[in-house]
Amino acid sequence: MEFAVQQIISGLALGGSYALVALGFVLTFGVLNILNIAHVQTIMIAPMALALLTAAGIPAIVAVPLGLLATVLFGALVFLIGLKPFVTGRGRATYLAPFIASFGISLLVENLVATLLGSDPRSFPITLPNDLWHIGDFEIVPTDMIALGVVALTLVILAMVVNRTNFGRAMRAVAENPDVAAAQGISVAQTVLITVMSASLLGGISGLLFAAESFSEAPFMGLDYGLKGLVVMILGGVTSPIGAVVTGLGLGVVESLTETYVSSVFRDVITFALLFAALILRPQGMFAGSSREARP
Amino acid sequence: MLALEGVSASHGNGDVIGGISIDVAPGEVGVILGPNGAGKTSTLRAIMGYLQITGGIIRGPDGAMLRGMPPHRIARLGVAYVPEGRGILNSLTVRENLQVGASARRLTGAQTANRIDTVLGTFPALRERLGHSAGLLSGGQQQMLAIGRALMASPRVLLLDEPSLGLAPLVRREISELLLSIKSARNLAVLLVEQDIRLAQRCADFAYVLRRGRLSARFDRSELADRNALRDAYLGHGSATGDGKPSSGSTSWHTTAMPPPGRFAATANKIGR
Repeated sequence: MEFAVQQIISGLALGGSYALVALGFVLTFGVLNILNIAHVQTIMIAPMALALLTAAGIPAIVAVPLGLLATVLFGALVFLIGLKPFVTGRGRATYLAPFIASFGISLLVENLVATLLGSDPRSFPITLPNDLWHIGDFEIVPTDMIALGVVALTLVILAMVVNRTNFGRAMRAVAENPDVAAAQGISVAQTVLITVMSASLLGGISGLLFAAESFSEAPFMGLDYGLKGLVVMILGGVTSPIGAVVTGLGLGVVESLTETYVSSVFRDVITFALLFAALILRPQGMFAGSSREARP
Repeated sequence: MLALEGVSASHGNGDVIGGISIDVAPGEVGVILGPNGAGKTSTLRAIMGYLQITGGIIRGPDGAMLRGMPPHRIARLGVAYVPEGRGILNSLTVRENLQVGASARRLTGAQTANRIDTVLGTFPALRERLGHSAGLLSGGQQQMLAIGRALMASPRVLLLDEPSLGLAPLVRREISELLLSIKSARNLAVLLVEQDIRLAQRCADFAYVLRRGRLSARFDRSELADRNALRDAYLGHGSATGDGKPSSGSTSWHTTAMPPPGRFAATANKIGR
C-alpha cells in the first residue's frame, strides 16, 4: 500500500511536468489557432543551457533563471522567424503550413544542438538531495516533492495571471476573437508574442523538472516528453487549461503505475493507446471547452 | 471629430467602398442607411483599420490621421467600435468584458472599477449579471454590454454596426433613446450603420444612403421625415445611373469618379468575414 502511494506521488510529479508542457501548447494554440511543434524543444533548451552555464562555473542559483531566460528567448525567436509570417498579414495560411514549418524548426534545432554539444545523454548538472524522506511509513523521493512544489507554484501563478490580470484578460480576448480584442485597444501581436514567451517558460520549467527527475538530459529529450504533452493537450480538450492539468496528472500516475506493476516497456504503449481510445470515443477531449465555438 | 474624405478601401481584391465622404461632429449622430452588401459594415471597418485604405483621408479625434493605423492604435486614440453581431466575448464574464473595454486607456484597477460603476449607472440591468458569463445574456443585454464596453474607454467617436439587429421593437426604441442620451451627455460623435429606417429617423442628425459601395444621398434631420424620398434613395429609384437621387430634398452630392465596385465584392466580403 505504501509502495503504491509512493508510486502515485512519483506519477503526480511526472504528470505535473506533462501538464506544464500541455499548458504551453494550450496557450499558444489558444491565441494562434495553430499547433507549434517547435514548442517541444523548449523542454530541451533549458536543461542544455543549464549544463553549459554550470560547466562555465556559474552557480546554479543564477544558471537556472538564465537557462529559463534562454528558453523564453528561443521561443520568441522561433515564433517571430518561423511562425509569424504564416499567421499574420498577407502570408496567412492554413493550419498545415505553420505546423510543418514548426516541425521543421523543431528537427533543425534538436539536430543543431546535438551536433554542437554531442548527442550523448548528460547527467543533470545540479546535485539535488538524494536521500529518501521518511514520513511515517512512507518513503518519499525528494526530487518528486520538489517537482510537485514547483508545478503547484507555477500553476497558481499561471491561474492568477490568466484570471486576474489585464494581460490574462487580453490573452483570453485574443483567443476568442482577435478582431474584437484589437477594437478594445489590445495589441494582438504583442499579446500573442508574450503568450508564446509564457508558454516557452512553462516548457523550460518542465524541461528542468524532467531532467531533474530522470537525472539525465539529452538534445533529443524534447520530442520524447513533448509528445506526451501533446497527448495530454488533446486528451484534455485542446483549449482547456484545467483539462490539461487534470489529464497531465492522470497520465503521470497511469505511467508510473504501469511501470511499477506491468512493465516499463508498456509505459508508452499505454499512453498512446489511451490517446487512440480517446480519439475514437471522445474526440472533443475530456474537458472540451465552449470557447472554441465563438471562433469564426 | 470624424471626417472621411473620398475614402476607398479594399480587402485585397478590388475596392469594396469608393469615394466615401462623411463628417460627424461631437454631439452628432450620423446614420449610414443602405441595403445589404452596400458597404455599410465595410465603411466602419475601414475607419477602424481592418481594411486596406486605397484612397482618401480619415481623420479621427484631434485631427489624427487614422489611415494606415492598426485597429488597436485607432482604439487608443478614442474611437470605439461595436461590431455587427455585438462582438461579445462569450468566454469572459460580463465584468471582464467591461474591463477589457478599458484596454485602450492605461487605467489602475480602481479607475477601471469606477468606470464600470459609471457604465452600470447607464445600464443597471447588467449590474446583477457582472459575474455571469457574457454568452448567457439576452440579445438586448448583450447589446447593452457591447455599448457599455465601448464606453469604458471614454471614447470620443463611437462606431455602431446595426445595434437593432435581432432585437424586439421595444428594445430598439430603448437603444435609440440611449444613443441620444449618450451622445449629448458625453459629447460623442456617433456613426451608426442601420437598416431600420425608423431607428435612424428617431436619433439621426443626418443620414447617408449607401449603395454599391458609394454614398448616393445625404439627408438632414428635417429631410429625414420624408419617407418617400428616403425610400427612393434606399431603393435606388429616380436616377438612370442607379445612384439613387432622392426625388426631393437632396442637399449634398458625391460625384462618381470611379466605376462602381461590384456588388459582389461587398457581399462576398460580408460572407467571408
